[in-house]
Amino acid sequence: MARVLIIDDDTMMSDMLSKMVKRLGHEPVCAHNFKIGREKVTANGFDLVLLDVRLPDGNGLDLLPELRTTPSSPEVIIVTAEGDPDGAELSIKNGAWDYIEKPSSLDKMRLPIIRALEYRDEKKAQKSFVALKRDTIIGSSQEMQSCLDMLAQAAGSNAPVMIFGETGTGKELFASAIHENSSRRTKSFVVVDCAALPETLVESSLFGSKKGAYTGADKDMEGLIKQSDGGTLFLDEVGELPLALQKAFLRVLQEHRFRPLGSKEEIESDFRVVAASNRNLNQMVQQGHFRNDLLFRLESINIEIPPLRKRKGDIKDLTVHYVAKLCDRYGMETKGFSPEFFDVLSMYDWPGNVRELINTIEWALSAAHDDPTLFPKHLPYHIRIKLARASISKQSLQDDDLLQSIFEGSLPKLPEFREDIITRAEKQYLNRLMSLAGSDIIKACELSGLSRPRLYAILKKYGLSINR
Amino acid sequence: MQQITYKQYNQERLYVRQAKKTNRQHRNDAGGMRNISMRLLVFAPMRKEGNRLINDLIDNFTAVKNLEIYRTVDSLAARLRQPQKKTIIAVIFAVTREDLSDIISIKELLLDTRIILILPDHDHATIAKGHMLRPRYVAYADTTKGEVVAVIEKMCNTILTKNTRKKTLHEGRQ
Repeated sequence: MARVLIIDDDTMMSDMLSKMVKRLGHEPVCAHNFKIGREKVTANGFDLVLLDVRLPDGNGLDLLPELRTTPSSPEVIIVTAEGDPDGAELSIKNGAWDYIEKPSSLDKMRLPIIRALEYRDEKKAQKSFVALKRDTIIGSSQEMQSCLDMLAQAAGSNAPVMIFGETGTGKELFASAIHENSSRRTKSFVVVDCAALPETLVESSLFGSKKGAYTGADKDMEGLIKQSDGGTLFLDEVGELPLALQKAFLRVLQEHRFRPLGSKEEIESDFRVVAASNRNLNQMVQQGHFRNDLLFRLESINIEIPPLRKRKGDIKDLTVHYVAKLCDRYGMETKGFSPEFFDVLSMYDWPGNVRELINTIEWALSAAHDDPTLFPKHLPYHIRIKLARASISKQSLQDDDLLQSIFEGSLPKLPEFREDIITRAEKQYLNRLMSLAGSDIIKACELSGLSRPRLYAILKKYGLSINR
Repeated sequence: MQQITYKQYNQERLYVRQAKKTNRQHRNDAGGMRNISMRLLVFAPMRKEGNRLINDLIDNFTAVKNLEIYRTVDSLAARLRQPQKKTIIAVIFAVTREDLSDIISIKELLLDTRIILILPDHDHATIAKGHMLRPRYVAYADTTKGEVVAVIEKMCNTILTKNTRKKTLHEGRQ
């Protein structure tokens, strides 16, 4: 029996959905506003959430990212009276199972609920087989969670895996985790650094050679493909593999048989390939620098690791993990953090991704030396300078934008200009006030210092409502 | 882990000092990869094979400012326990299988390092053990040193290209 949470302010709709869920043999729970819905989903595990968009105290779509990160990570079906294409897109992007307009007949809701719960059952069954070993992969953001789901899928299969990600995102850690979680973990994980191998050495390194195959080959040499027999062959920076060799490698990938240089006989190797690249291989295919058929073959399972700037929620976890690890390595007392330290780390763009973050932590530890707490002043100058400059230029840009939009070419009269600025500021203030006070008019009066009639009047002036 | 005598310790210090002096002399009139933000650590045990490797590398990497040489696993481990501010390429020469076991005992310290591993022999067990270090390139004691040198050069150039690309991308995003 699954647990289904219905978050809808329409009590009649909630009751009907609730009865239908019961009839399907599951346990329904109702919440009639955003706040209670959030509390219930955090406190209890649910398998499915039926979520209304327009709730008295908030927009249901704002709850979607939170639902994904709760321990139960329920499936979500958005149920709305006023569907709109942008909302539908946003919902799907945030992982909703379906986006449905409130139907005239409740029977139309039955099938999506059944399907979502079937999918949930299958997902649970799959998860129980995979207890992922991921000591070196830190992060619990939604983006990272999706990658870990793919990692688990890859570990349970034998298909080639292609990992994309910018420099420093941890592609090798993912490749290694796939190997460590696979049935091949007792055999070798063999790294082929395609970017580091000079063109003259790639072929012999991969395929091996027989004695006398070329000048200097004075004995038989086993190649990396054979060395990964039974294990995993990790092709790092596969985009750098010479075009001539890509064809030969494609054949090996298909047949798992190859001929070492200078040999007349083919040998076999039962390897599983995991490849990684920080380059756009589709573009390289179009430019004729990478073989389409090889890319197609490698992309059986595709993992795209997001850059750190797109998963800033993980920066804190990463920092805490690496500070503890590095302090241990350097024989230092572990450090505390000032809140501003994390603020600064979160504001920076991290072009070098996790690797740059680790280097920055090393720098900060070195700068802090015996200080027990890490402050922003311990960070490298280039980061602090960049952020300081960015904050100044951003502020002046905003000011300029405001003035520019008001002037629009000609200089207005001062009273008009003043009125315009006041209108904009009041509107912004009221929006902020409403978001803080929610539907509580007394709280809104307290916060704003306005009387109730005055607040209603000013809200009316700007076409705003307390029950947004 | 291998223990060394006081005499061996002194020999190591003398050898490293001489090697560094030679390297410094060469660097004075060399250009090229001098400014690459990386460090080249060489581990070669105190045996004649190790001395030969060090000489080969010094001859070829006169321009690399941050070349460091270690003759015992303990001294290498001590270095790796210090904060690193640069990308590290480590050339590790396991002259014997015992050397390889010793290096594997500190593999946690080598996790963020690009390793070029030189193995003592072509035995399957030795090779499988070597892959525990996740080397970026595997050579053998009987491999021509030119290959190792070519790989180091390519690695240095790749790091330089990546750093430049990263810097350009970041500046573009600003």
